[in-house]
Amino acid sequence: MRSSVCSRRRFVLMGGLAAAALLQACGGAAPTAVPKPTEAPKPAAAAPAPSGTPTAGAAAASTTAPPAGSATAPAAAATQSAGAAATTAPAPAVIPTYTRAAGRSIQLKYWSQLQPETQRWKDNLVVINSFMEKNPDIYVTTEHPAFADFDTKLVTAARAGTPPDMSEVADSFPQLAKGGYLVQLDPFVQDIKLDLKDYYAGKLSTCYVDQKLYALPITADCRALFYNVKLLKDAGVEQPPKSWDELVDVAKKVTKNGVYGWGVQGGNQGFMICEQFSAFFIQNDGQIISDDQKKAMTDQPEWITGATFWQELTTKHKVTQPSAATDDQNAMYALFAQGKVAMFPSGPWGRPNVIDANKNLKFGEDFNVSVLPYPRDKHPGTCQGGWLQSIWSASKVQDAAKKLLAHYHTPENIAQEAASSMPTRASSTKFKPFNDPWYDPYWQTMPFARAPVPTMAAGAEIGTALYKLLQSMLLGQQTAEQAGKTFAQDVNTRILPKYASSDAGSGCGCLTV
Amino acid sequence: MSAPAPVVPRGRWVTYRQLYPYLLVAPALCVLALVLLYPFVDGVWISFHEDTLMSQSRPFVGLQNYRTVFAIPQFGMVLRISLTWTLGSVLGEAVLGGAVAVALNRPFRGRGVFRALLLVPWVMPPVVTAVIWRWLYHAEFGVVNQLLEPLGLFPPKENWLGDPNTALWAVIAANVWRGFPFWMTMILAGMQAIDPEIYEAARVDGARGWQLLCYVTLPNLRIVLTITSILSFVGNFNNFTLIYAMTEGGPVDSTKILPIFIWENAFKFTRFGEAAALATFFAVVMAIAILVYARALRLRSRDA
Repeated sequence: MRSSVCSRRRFVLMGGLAAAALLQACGGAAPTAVPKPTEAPKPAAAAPAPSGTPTAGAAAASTTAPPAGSATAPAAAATQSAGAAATTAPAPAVIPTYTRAAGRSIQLKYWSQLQPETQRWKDNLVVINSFMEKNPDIYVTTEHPAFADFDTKLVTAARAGTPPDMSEVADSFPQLAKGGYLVQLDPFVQDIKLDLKDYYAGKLSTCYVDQKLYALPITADCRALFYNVKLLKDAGVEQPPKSWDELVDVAKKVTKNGVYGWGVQGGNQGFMICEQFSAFFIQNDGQIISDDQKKAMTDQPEWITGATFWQELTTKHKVTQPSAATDDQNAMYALFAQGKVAMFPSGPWGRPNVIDANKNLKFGEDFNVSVLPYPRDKHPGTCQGGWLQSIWSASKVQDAAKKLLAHYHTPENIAQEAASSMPTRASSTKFKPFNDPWYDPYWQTMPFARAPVPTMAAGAEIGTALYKLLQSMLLGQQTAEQAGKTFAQDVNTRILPKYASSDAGSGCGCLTV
Repeated sequence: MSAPAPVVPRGRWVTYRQLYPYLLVAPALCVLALVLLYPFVDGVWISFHEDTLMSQSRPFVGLQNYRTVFAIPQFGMVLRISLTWTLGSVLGEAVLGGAVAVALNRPFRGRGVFRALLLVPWVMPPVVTAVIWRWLYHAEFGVVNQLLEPLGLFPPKENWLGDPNTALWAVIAANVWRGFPFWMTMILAGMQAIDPEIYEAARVDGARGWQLLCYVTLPNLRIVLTITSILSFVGNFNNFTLIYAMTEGGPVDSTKILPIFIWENAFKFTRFGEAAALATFFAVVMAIAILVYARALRLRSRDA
């Protein structure tokens, strides 16, 4: 007689099938296909924002940038000539499927914090592939340490004597330069006649240590105000706020029924400082460290006024979300995309990330971007982020690395690799997507954007202390004035003296735009 | 015809036999020395030198790095948080793991499935655990608030990881969830090794319930509990990933434990000498704690 009881094997099989069906039903779309040759580069960036301070992120990944000129021909030309470039898109994001070719005698190791699956890396890969096409003897391999651990990986590799030939550099850049790990680039820049005046001065200045050039910037970004059009209209507001007063007024009107007017992402270190806090003292002509890098300026009225305004949005006006102290960038996109937060600042990469968090949202209709509000008698201004590239002294193929660096830094290639962020050269802005009107708030802000903490050996320790300070302000443990004075004393008496010998003479005027 | 075997004097042959086992383990000892002893000695060596990423030379500075790190205002607070984190985690894991082990030691339908499912938190990567718990604790979307708010015991939309008063306990709870299956497995294995006749004899003598647990089960689990608590203490004191991925040591340093403090000094501030001094201090504290604990347990065992 056939038993009606389900056997264990059948039970497990049925369970497996059910799980598979559930996964299939809940699973996302298939992996994004490689863009067709006719597609312009998308301004999409799945990568975290290129701020100065790495934060928690994805797992490490490693891949190899395929070399050019081998068995499989490239699908399309990777770059355009400069002459044909005006107002047209840079090279389409085509990723040829090369294999390792015989006859490439030079292997060049390049490390990037961009993860291989991101659009930003695909934009970079176009540049690298076009380089290999032009240089059939050079084979570029790439590694992509996790974004959160990128700086740790650089420091470890430097100490172990196993650095790459060329890489992006992060927080440890001044230490690496001072320690002799990076190649001084002034002679190289003169050799290739690179027009440094074409770079944004604020960003370029962060590449100098002890008045010597040790890096070149590949992205230079600033922030703008993202606002939810519908939430503002529902509160009777037709235009986004332009001044601090209007920001408070609009945020108060919007804050009701579980919706918050102003989003704070207080959870991941550098982003908290860079994404929004620094904007308010930069707009008010405040500084964290003096131009000569010899003292903290957080006890000055310019800084205190900006910091107080930022703090009171949370502690006095109560227009920020309850999870402000812990929300990271992804949480902020989710809160904004779901209509829980009406306004927050972000770089251009925020647009695709918001749409990723809610596919029903349409840019222009549901949400839009404007200049971040600033005091009526002052000027716009935000943090200036971005990434730098350096060549390592231990490299045995420095000539090849210099060739790659020179190739990267043509106006059209800068436009290509920065297509999901912002370029560092003024002449790159004529290319798509940077000539799109939606970038206008960014271009209006860019001349006033600057790094919150200058390039200095003590920078990482100052940034960490600042993060702690901001969290205490956000939680209402102390006023901005108290916090600023305590911080200034700590920096002046404990942190700066430790670095006094190493930072002496390194004044690069990084805060001067 | 082969040559006769060399005559080995009796005394020397015995010496060779005595040496033989050591020769067999020598390769493994060499590898261990290379991967464990060398880094430790090198770390201690670095702690006596001024060593930063910018150093062109690394001069000997004696105990200067130790003096510097002990003078950091945060140092005492970091030690206190580390101890709270470790003891809270060990205690929570032991209680929860023990309770679940007692429950699973009784036969019931589906026990095998439960045992397997309860191991999931332990085998899960700490970063995944951190992401899950971050969302569980989220003030706006978190399940924890949705469950607790109707009870009215806590303020609405409590930000568990964003409040310095609750953050440490919140990460300890997540760590207990992650670590209790280890205790459960060890205690369960220990309980199943206890001879059932001892229980029968105790029952004949009139022992029931708690008496069986206190006078039969726990004394027989002493060795298992000693080993498990030492391993758990070491594992939790060394734990870096979970707390870093959940709070990065914040808010306002309220969850900054010693491993995060060391990492910050080494890789963020690139002050390797000071970080090595902290790590050496950390290793000494661990060694002393384990020695004292093991000795105390051995004495209690002898007394019993």
